[in-house]
Amino acid sequence: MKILNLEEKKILDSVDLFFTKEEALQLISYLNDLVKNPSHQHSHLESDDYSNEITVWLYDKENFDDLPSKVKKMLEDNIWE
Amino acid sequence: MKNYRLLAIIVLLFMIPQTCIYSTPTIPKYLNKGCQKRINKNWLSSHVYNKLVSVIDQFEEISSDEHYAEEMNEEQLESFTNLVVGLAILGSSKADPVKNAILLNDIEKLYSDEEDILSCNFNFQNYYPGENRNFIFAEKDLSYEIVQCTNIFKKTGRGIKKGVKATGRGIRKGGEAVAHAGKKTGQFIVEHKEQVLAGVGIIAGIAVGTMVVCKIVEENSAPPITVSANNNPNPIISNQSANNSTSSQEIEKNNPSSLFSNIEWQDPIPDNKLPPAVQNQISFLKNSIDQQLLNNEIYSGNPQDSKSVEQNKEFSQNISSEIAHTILDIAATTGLEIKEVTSLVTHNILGGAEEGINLLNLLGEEFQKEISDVSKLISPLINQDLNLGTDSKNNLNLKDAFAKAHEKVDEFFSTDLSDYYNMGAPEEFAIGYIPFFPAAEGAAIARQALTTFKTIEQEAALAEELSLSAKEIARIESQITDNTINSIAKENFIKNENNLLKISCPEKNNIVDEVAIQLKQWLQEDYTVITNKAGDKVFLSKDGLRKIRYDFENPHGDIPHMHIQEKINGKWVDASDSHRIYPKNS
Repeated sequence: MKILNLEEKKILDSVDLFFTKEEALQLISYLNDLVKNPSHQHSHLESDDYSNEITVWLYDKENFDDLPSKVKKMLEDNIWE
Repeated sequence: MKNYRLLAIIVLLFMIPQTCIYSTPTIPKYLNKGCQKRINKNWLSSHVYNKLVSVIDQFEEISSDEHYAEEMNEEQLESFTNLVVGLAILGSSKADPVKNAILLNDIEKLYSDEEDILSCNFNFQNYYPGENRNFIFAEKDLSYEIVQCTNIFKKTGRGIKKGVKATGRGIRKGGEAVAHAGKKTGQFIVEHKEQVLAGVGIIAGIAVGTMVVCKIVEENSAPPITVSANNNPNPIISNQSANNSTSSQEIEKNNPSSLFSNIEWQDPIPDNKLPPAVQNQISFLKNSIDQQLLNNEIYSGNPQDSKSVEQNKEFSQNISSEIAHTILDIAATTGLEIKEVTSLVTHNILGGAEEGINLLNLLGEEFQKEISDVSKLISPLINQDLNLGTDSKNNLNLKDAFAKAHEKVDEFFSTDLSDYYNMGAPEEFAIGYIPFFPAAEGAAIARQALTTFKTIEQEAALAEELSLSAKEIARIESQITDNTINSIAKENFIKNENNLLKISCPEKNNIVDEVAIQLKQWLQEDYTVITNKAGDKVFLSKDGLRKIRYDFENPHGDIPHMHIQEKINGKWVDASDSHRIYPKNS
């Protein structure tokens, strides 16, 4: 598991996420899709008003090579620059 | 003669689309090659002159380095190179044909090597089909474009530095083309740095004033700005003039040569504060503007007459050239840094704008309407939230608005001249670079369209004619009523059963516009456009069942892409075969 704030270029150790039931169901749906289709790589879960969002990624041996190079580099090195 | 100068500045300011362009027949040939014109506005941005110069300096260092590195992003290099070339063109002086010939020759060399023509990764958004043009803008809120621009711009600089340090690595990893191109860009900067920096100053000076004027007019076009005889802002308008303004307007409306007979010019900076050479050069510039105005009879021409449009274009190009000429000459004769000189000239131009705006009430409603139309088109393309701190519900405080502008000019150039112009200003807006919106056929079309297209429907048509990107069209459309969008869309829809995107190099056709139309068709009427915190658009259908999400500004480590989704059984799922849709070259 990696928790990254891509925009601010920060690596986080933990994060608390709060979902409504509808959002949780959507997240489950996205994760199911990613597990079934690793090539999809990521999905965006947005709040109702689009003020917040998380992007969930699936990375494992099956799809790692196909991930964007920047993402791979970050996952491999845990460095940003 | 002084009075003509005021009119010239007004005209110059409202013609900023042309003013930013100093085109030659030679340039577009190279800039239009392939898809290399894609520009991410963020990379080109800085709200401080010194930051831009700093990056230019870094490129200068690269010119002496034999190697370059893989860290240099192709698109960044490409955009930056185009920016530098554009600035050099703008900063060149018509008065020095030899130097211009050298510049054009060097530009040709810069773009002539096929291996330097960087590949087209995508060109759906942020695509600028015309010349690369850059624009400076005033913005209230630092949280959006400016901050992003600055951060990314710094990132570019870091990439360059790392590239220099990583000597040889780039070549081993196959970055030869980028390395070579980077070095060539550096060499170009070494050869033409003076012109590049002059170009920066010109854009800053003219555009700041323009945006101030456009915004002021937009917010205050009705009723006309009133200049009180008892509360005269600078410049001075005589009591006689103020008291008789109505009659003067009626009498002189169609006679520009006599419009300003009662206006007295007052230079904001006392002459004795400036070095004599600077005084002379600025005086030369102003007189030159006057003369060109007289020669071109610019204002008296019919704006819908193509000949008049060409005259306007030529006039604005000449003015740009004159400003460049003046900046370079002042720098050469006084030893002042170009930065200081451009700041000075900028303040003077802004001072002229202030005078000009004060005179709008004398110019008559027709002229005010014309400027207002310009601002309506420019504003959504540049910045929807442009705000100079004026209160649209109240009468404009001209002195405050221009005081802010002067403050920000100093901030931009790191100079300290605004005290000569005002006694301080509140913080409201900043200055930054963004690529100028595309006008496929150049300034003439834009100018003609601005005065011809009067309705919002026609503005939308103009957007398509100018090959605006989907994002830019969306910006315009956000200000147009839904019904209007729908009526346009219905007329222009190209039926496509699949509703899938076909994105190709727009050099072959105007398919970007086609895509935008198809997307609207799929979303159906009355869709909502949401801008997320990254600045990306999310288009949501009225029934909340179809969604198009752009990940361009923040592609999350990926290359820019989009998601097209529909809600089935309460959950968003992909609406197309592709989970992510990447614009491509086919």
